[in-house]
This record gives sequence, C-alpha cells and structure tokens, in this order.
Amino acid sequence: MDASKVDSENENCEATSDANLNQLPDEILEFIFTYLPPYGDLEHCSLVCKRWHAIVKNLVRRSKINLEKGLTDFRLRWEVFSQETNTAGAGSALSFIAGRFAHSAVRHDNSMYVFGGGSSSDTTFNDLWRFDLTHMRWARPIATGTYPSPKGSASMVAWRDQLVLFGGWRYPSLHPPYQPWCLFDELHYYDLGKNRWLQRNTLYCPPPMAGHSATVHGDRMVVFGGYQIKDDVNINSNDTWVLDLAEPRWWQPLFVGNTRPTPRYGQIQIDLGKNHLLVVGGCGGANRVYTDAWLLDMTRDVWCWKAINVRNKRFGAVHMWCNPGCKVNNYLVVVGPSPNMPQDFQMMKQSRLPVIGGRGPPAPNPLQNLPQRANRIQLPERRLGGGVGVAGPNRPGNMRPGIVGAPLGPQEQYLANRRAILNQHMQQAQQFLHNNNVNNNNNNNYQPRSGRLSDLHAPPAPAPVPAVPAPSPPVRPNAPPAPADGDVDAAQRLQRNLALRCRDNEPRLPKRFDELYEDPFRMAAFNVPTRSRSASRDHNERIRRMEEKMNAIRNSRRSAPAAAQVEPQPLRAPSPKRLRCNVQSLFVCDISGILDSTDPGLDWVEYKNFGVLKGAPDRLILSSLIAGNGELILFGGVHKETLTDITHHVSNSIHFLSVPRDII
Amino acid sequence: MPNIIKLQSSDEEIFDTDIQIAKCSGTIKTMLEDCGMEDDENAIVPLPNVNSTILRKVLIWAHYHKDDPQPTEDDESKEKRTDDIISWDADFLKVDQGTLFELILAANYLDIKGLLELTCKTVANMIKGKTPEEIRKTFNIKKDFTPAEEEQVRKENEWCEEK
Repeated sequence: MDASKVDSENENCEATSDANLNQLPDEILEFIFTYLPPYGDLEHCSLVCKRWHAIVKNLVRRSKINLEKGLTDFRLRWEVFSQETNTAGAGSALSFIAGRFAHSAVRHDNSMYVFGGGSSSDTTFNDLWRFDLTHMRWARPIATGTYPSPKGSASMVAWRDQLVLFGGWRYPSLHPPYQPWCLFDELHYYDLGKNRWLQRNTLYCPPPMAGHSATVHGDRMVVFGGYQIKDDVNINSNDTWVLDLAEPRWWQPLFVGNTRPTPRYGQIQIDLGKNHLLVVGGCGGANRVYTDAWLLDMTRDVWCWKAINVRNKRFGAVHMWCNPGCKVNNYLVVVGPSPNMPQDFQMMKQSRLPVIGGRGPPAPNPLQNLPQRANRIQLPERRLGGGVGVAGPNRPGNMRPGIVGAPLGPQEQYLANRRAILNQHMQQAQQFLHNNNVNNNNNNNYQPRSGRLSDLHAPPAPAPVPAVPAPSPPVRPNAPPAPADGDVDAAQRLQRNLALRCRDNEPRLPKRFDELYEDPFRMAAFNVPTRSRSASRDHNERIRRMEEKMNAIRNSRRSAPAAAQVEPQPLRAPSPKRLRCNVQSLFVCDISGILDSTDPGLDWVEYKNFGVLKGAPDRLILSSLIAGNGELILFGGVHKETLTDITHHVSNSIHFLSVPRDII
Repeated sequence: MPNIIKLQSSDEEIFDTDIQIAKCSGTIKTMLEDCGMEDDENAIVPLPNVNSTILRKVLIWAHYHKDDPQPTEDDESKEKRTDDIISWDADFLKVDQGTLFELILAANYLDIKGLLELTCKTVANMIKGKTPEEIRKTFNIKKDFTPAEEEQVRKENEWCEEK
C-alpha cells in the first residue's frame, strides 16, 4: 500500500459526511480522553460542554477506582520519564533537573515542585524546579527574593498559592574538617504567582531540624519529629510544632497525657482531613527503625496522640524512614526495598568492605573521608570544646555552623570522644525506652541500621577505629567528576561514594546480618581479602567490567591495576538474580479504618510478587513520592544498584506508577 | 484455496476480501466462526453500519497492518503516549473530521482494536494543548454552560474528592 494510493483514497473521502465529534458515543469519547494527560488537558475538556464535563467526571471516577483496585491487586506498572526517554518534541533544548536525593517535593495544581536535596558530590542544592504534569516537562522558575540555603530533607508543603519550606540539613563544608552536619530552622514561603521566595523568620520557632514531617491542616502546618541538635548533641525529636501559616506564628500544642510517638525522623506523615494526621514509621536511631503508626487527633484544644494497631505487618514496608510514602484515597502507599532481599543485602555488605580494603595501603587519601564524615556527627563534644555558642537558633544565617573543630588531634582524643558519645547515646536510648514507656518495644519494629542522618549511631562496633590512620589533610573538596584529575580524585570519589553507600546501605542489613557486621574501618586497616562467599562464577567478567570503569575514569594507571585486582574480586557486579530483584517494591496499606472509633487500625495489603511490579525502578532511597491524578509519581533518590560504580547514581528520573490501560 | 469472502457495505457495495484481512475485525471474525461461513465461498457478510467509503479505508488500513502482531489480551506495554503514530498511519488519517469520526465508529463496530486506538489517539492529539474555547472551535461544539456553571466546573476538583 503506497502513499500515493493512500492519498487518492483520502481524496475520495473528502466531504463524505458531516459527522460531528459529539455524535460519537460516550464510551468512545471517554476512551479518547484516556489518551489525554489527566491534568490540564482533561480539565479543559470538562469545560467544553456539559456532556464532556459529565464524561470527564466519569473518567476521573473510574481512574480513581482503577488506581485503588490496581493498588490492592498489585496490578500496576511503572513508566519512566527521564532525560533519555524525554525524546518528545524539542526535548533536548529544554532544561532538565539535576539528579538529587533527600529533596523536597510537593504537588500543586498540575505541577510537581521540587526543591533542593543532595547532589551526587556531597553538596546540596537550593534550586526550585517545576515539573509540568500536563506537558511532561521540567522548568526552573526564575525566582526572586531571599533564597533558602542549599539543603536536603526539608519539609515542603503547598498552602494556598504558596510553598512553605522549613528546616533541612546540608553537608558541612570540607574546610575545616570535622564539622557536624548543618541543620536549619529557616522558614521560607514561595509565592507561586510572583515566583518569589520570602524568608519568614519568627522570634519563637522550632529548633533547627531535618527529616521531620509536615502536613497542612486548614491554615496550619503541623510539624512532627525530626533530627535535631540540642545542647550540642544529636538527638531525634518527638515534639509537635504548629505554624499558623497566615501570620506566620509557631506554637506548640498541649497534649492529653504523656502518650506520644518515640522520637524519630524520616517518618511518613499524611493528612487525614482538617483534624487528624497519621505518622507511620521513621527512624529513632541505632537499630531502631519503626513500623508503628500514630494518629494525632487535633479536634480539641488539647491534642492527643493515639497508637494505632498495625495489622498484617508482615506485608508492610519496613524501611519507612528513607523511603517515601503518600496517601491515595483510602490507602497509604510506600515504595521501598523488596522484602525478599537477603541475598542482595549480603552482596551489598560484602562489596562495601573490600573497596576500603583494596584502597587501604596505596591510597592514603580516601581513608580520611570516612573517619572525617564520622567525626562530623560523632563528635558533638568537640563542638562544645570549640566554644561557639549556638545554644539558640541562630537568627540571620539560621543555620548552626558546626563548630569549627580544631583540627583533629591525636587519635586518642578521637577515640575517647567517640566512645563517650556512643555511651551517651546508649544511655539516651535506654532512657527513651524507659521514659516513654515505649509502645513499640515490640522487636518487629527494630531493624539494625545506621542512618544517613544518624551516623552518630552508626558503627555498632567502634572498637576497630585505632587501626585507622590519622586523617590526612583535607582532600580537594567536592571535586566534580573530572577524569583528568587522575587517580587521586578517582580514589577520593570512590571513597566518597563509599561513604555515602555505607551510610545508606547499612540500614538495610536485615537483622540476621547483624552479627556479621564488621566495621569498615577495621577492614580498611587489615585489608582483609576474604569474604569468599561473594566470589562467584562470573568473576572474570566482573574484573573486566571493573577495569573498564576504572580505566575510563582515571588517566594515571599506576594504582589502577592494583585497585582493579584487589577490589573487584569480592565485590564485582551483581549476579543476574540480584539485578532482577533489586528494584523498588510497592507496599500498600489500607487506612480506611484509621478513624474508626472502636478499633482504629491499619491493614497492610497482602502483596503479590513481593510488591515488584512491571517496569519497577532500580532501588532508590531518599526519593519522593506524590500522588498525581490516577497515578503516583516517584522522583529522584540515590540508586542502590550502583555500589560498584565509581560514582554513585543520583537519579533525576520520574517514575510514574499507574494502572495499565484498560480496553473498552 | 483463495480464502476470499465478500463484505457488503451499508450501501450494498461488495468487497472481495482476503479472509485473513477481514478477520482483523473481531466482529467479522466472530460472525464467520459462529455462523460457519468460513467454508462457504459465496457467503456475503453484511456490514450495515459501515458505508463503502469507510469500509474501503478500513480495508486499506487492515491490509497495511495485516502482519502486525496481534495485541494480546493483557498487553500492558500499550502506553498512554500518543506520539507513537507511524507516518503511514498519520498519512492515512489525513482526512476530514467526518471521515475520521466515521472511521472511529467503524473501528468500534468492527472491533478493530488497532484502528480504534489509532483514530482515538489522533483525536486526542487534536484536543491536546488547546483551551476549551479552541476545542469547541476545532470540533464545532456548542458551549452550553452558563457562566455560573462554568465557574462551578472550574472550581471542582474531581480528583481530590473522596468517594
């Protein structure tokens, strides 16, 4: 059938009828509308005429039901929108957001707004992006006003036509070394109409925090928990703060009794109407990842926390502190690591260690990054000694510059401090447990972990530290991946990635690996070449691939062969099986019974195929999840599948989770 | 065996058609199978809802796509995207709106999934990016909202309303 024939046929067809689009039956119009993005275009359709309005209404209703049904049946699929897939139209000319994790994301009208977050190179962003859901494209509004500081894990909510951004953390600068993470108590409003940032400082406000959760209830923003520094010690909070958004004015509510969630950060908080909110999960420090649920009743003047029954826990998400969740009608949806991952965890753990080991002797530089990072958080006392008074929130900068620690002296001091802190934290932890009459001391709630924000608690076995060589002078900070810089930078990068991975991965070690845990520092020192468990069949292939990567990145190859020989053996790439299962799983929780006065509870829905759905993204953590129209939208995060790469992958892809098309 | 069947359009034109091509229509396929007409060389399949012009186009389309893989029942790879129309199809559908809508109706009646999707995507592409007023103009639709009603519709957000 050639084109000319088609054309002639077309001519024959001209003016054959006076059919009108509205002569098509409703079902077909509805079918046509399913091909429209369910945002602006669909809204326009509903404004065309009464009939279209009714059809759109019907379509929306059906989409919502389909999504709920898809969630409970686990019959959904993932679709990715990334720089690579964005081929539509003038794709290349358009700007595209940089990859990030621990960013803040919120939906407003038909856009998803993304602020800040951590980059792939130990820095944080303070840019604001808008993803236009109707046209599927990124844009960076040109904003005026007082920009927020670069930060991650800030809370961002939409209120009227404004975004409200509060708190957050940023990496400490590398010079001078040994600073703790910076936390913020900054409050910013972003006016969407005027594209303007406005800093709204108040005299009375919550302490600097990150990893807290926030929801909007009417004209109030309710903030709970978070990771804080109080009296120069890193703690987690279980305080509730309220911001009257219009004024703005912060205040703290009174509570009935003493019942409240244990201190935590990274929890999922969802709003259940004007007077209720739900807090699920979070992380309370070492070995304490929660899967409990709390309802905050704000109906009366005196508020009330209520612990909620969590049923079907074995189908529940377990890492609800570094994985996002959101509410879809009567369901809480959490995206996280698949529940059947033991082999995978194992691989990760092993791959981590030899990297350090291999690096140990030839590259002194990399070693310093880990201890340094640890120090930032692990030595709050040092800050006391530094004597910078930061007891109260710092007004103008609003961030608490960690004390500029005197350059780390003798290791003895380091060790002493470290022990002191660990002890202190153990005591604190015990106190928490004791004082709070913990509701969740049910062991199900605990997962061995060490958090990104809580490196403080991280190494359960600090003993081996002496083996760590004294940190060498600061490395070049944040060198962007620059191949020309040779092996020092490559090594440094590797180490940085490693540091990040260590922080991020350990939380995922299931309990049964706890006893196997070995402090990476020790491994670094002793350069233990064991871990034979992981040596596997496609050994040579792994070495080859590792070598390729290394060679691509570095110019100098003096140390490359050495590294390639030592590192890859135990750590090389994932087995096919691991690749297949190392993706994001979906967890769905029925929250319709949450406000039930007699038996309030959550019911995790029994997953199918371990919650792994078609097209699932690689495992990410610290990504964001928001509810779109008839779909869920996952953005950003740190890839968990890049342990063996030289640079860790920070995602800038959007993953849409939606129901497969139904045929009429 | 030639495997030709005769399709009769609403205006009583007869189309000699390869049976495999005709069978891309679920409706015809069912008819043939249910009525045992497959072996009857002289059987005529009446298609009272499709006129000859449209039927001719449908058959041209079916002939071009006769080797396409049959979409499976739970084919989830079908995306919502509407920019995946091949250029032959795009040319094929450079027709007036009336023809396009009749093709949609015919594809629906004949149960030809591929053609229905193609034509509906084409209409969706005509809607995309247009304001309500532009849509009305494009399709010659009369606005039957009062300003108050229109305002009401604007305010509604069906997505957010709880069931």
